[in-house]
Amino acid sequence: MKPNKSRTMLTDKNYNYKEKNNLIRLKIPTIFILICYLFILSCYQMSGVTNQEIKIQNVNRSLMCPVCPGESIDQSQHPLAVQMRNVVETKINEGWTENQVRDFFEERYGTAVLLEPSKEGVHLVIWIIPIIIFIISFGALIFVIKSMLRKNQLLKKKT
Amino acid sequence: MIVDTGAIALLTALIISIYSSFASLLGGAWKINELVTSGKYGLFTIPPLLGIATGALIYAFITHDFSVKYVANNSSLDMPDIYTWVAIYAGNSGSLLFIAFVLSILIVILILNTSKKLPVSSPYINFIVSIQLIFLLLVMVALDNPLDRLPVTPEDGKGINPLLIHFGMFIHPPTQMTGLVAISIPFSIAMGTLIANRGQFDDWIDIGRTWGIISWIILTFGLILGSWWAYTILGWGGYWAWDPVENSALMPWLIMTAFIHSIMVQKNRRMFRTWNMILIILAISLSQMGMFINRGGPVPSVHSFAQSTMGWLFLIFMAFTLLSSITVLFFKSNTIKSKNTIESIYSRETIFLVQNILFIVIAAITLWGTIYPVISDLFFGQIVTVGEPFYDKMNGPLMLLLIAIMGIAPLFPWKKGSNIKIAKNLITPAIIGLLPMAIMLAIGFSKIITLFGVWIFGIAATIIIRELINGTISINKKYQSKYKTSIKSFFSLLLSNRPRYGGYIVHLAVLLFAAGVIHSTFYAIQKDIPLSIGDTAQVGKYSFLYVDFRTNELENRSETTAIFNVSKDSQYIGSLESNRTFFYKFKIAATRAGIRSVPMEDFYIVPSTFSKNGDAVFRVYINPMVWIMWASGPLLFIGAILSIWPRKQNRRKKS
Amino acid sequence: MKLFLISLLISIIPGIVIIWPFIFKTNSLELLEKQISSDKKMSVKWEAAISKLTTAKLDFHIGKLSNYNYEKIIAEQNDEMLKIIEKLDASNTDKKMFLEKLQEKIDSKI
Repeated sequence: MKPNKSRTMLTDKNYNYKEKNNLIRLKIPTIFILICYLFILSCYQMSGVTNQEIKIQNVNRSLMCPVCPGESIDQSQHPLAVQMRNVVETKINEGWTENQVRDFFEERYGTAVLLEPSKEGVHLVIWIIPIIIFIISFGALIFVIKSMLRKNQLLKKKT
Repeated sequence: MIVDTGAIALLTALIISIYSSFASLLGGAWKINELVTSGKYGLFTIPPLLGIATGALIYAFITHDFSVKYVANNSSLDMPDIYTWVAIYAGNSGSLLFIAFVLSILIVILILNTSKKLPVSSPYINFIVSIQLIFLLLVMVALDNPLDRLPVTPEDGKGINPLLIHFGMFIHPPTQMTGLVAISIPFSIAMGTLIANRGQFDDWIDIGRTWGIISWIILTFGLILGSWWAYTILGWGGYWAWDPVENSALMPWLIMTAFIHSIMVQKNRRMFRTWNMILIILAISLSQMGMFINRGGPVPSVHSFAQSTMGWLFLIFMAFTLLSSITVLFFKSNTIKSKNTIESIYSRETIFLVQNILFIVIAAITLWGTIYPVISDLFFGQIVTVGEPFYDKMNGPLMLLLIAIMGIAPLFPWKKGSNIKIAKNLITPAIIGLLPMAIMLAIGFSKIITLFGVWIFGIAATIIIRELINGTISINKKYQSKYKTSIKSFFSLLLSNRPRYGGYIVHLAVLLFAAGVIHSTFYAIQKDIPLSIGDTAQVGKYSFLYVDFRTNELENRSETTAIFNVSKDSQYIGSLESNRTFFYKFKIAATRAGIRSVPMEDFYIVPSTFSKNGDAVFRVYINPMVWIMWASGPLLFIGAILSIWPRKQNRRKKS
Repeated sequence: MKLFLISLLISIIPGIVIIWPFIFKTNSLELLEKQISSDKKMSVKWEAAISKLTTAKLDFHIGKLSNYNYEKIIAEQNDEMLKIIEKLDASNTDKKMFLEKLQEKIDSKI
């Protein structure tokens, strides 16, 4: 038996895939818009929080509570964290910028109080290495894919 | 006496497992069937033995037998009764016993599953998996036995961190530990096959994939439950803090996710064999590293409650696992060479590879951030912290990219696709995806990252939904007589290619989850409000009245509860209790937030310190879509189970 | 004394269990193993071919696969399946029946 005989056997001639059921297909966007509404409704309220407060929260989130490892002063309910939050609040209300407040705490508690290392000096490595990882891995990926494609073309020529 | 029985059982388990590993290896190498069977039977006896040991420990906890060191260190008389036995995995050696017990049960299931299906590689699989078991048992017996006695029996135990006394403790730690240890099963299957020189037959793929997905599901649930626990108990309105221990659980999960995708390439195209081996080796190494970080790792963390000096042993064992498996892979790499290659850039193979690399990059960045404090301390002599802002900036965009890839992946067929066709199929979703973005812009949201995110979600969701609908239509058309309704044909579509459609369902769940993450990160409202009894405050649509407060002084703790009447859009919706408990002995306060959760948003209120007359500062969060995030869990579970649900075995007739 | 007895029991039972296979020998599995492995190989290939066919078919119906590629995949897979059948020592008439059954199977799977 030759393969092409069985080929006809397995192909389904009667089926016409180009025929489309437009009605159902129109439902896709409709369903989707419903989902979007859900998104929008969920975040349709912005009130009660002033810019000043958001600034304070931002600073709080970037400072670590020195006595409760791994938690920012925003998260922690430790008395020291509460005290630090108060300091942040007064400083921001006095008109300090976010970075000034951070520097103030860094001077008092050391670099460990910052939840992200500064982008200056030796700690620049922490920001550079991820980028290098990214570039190297994708470089390797492109190289591998290219060499595989080449191998594939060689194989095709042989057959 | 029961405790001593347990200790003996533990020792016996160690001896038997050492015997079994040798018996399996030698029996496999010398083709002595009896030896292999004997090793197998030996492994069957481990779960009962470890069951006796675990039972003895639980017994010691329930009877408050403080002559046992571990019990004295991890429980106290004033602990609630149900939590005494939860304490068995609160410390180092007890959690080791738990892990070993779970692993031994998994091993039995593994043996029953593989000994007939993979007769040749089975002995080697048993060998590899029993080494993992031996390590755990050896650490326990030699260095930190959970059933060791103290020379003097203390009157009361030290007790455990009160933060752990929570319902979540029943589920989150065991699930997480089970998930981490379950990775050693697919790892053993892969390595065993490799050692048995059966890599080129690809007969382990189905079993390996099933076990990979099972461990992935358990890990996922461990992570979700952990986030849920953090959300309800830690009282900071968030669920993920990029804490070192969280990271160490996330990294193996990332690699396992890459693995269960790329193994599909091996299943369908007989290629990427070496790559899959590398992925599973990475996954097991990272899971062992997770155990290391959890036990006295060098990085401070909120999870540092199982602290011990034993951590370094795990690091050494991880190095051993990594080096030995890489060596094996190197020497056996010629047995798993594949003839097939990628035939086009526009193929599913390529997109899987890109996705794999992205997962690895995210895991690598996470690893880098986790160990950087140590590096900085060693090389620069400066103690630094790497926290949320770093990971948000680095991993956030990559994860969005990952979701974009997840979205367009269904457009890429196996082997060879045409770029024109893919582009054509992409146009409609891209336009539909713009709709929600436009509406958001019109209402006045202008954060570019969320707009972009919403666009990507739109594309991804449209593509998946379209796939499902098109498939249903085509089946409905073709088998009109068989499946009359479109619902019936939809289900038959899901069952027709389970890995694929199960995967789509999981992807939908991931989209929901990611949408929840993005919205709750960028559109959460947070406010600190000082209140006295009788005050009313307003945040967003919610207003709440501070009705009452009561203090409950107990022997070991004082509980303060505030009661609120909450209304939304000036309609009363119920009362909420928000609680703060102070534990005298530990000088730790635990808060329990009052949460009202509806699909759109959570109203979350948590107290900080109370004064005597009930004045307190309350923190209020309105977190959008958190409910949806948790709800995506079950959907994910259904999809994942569907993707591994076996077909009915159709016996092939030879006539 | 009681403790001694219990510990003896705990260590002896597993001992008996691991000696068991040496005393009561099960049949040597080497021949069986070989057969299983070659059978397995075939059935793995067979399943792979079937899954490829069904996937291709589905892709084609959804419109993701061009006509040309579809035909090519079908032809390839049929060749592969024929080879497998060849190895399974089926007689010629059986082969035809086999393919027909296969057609049914694929149809029922979608």
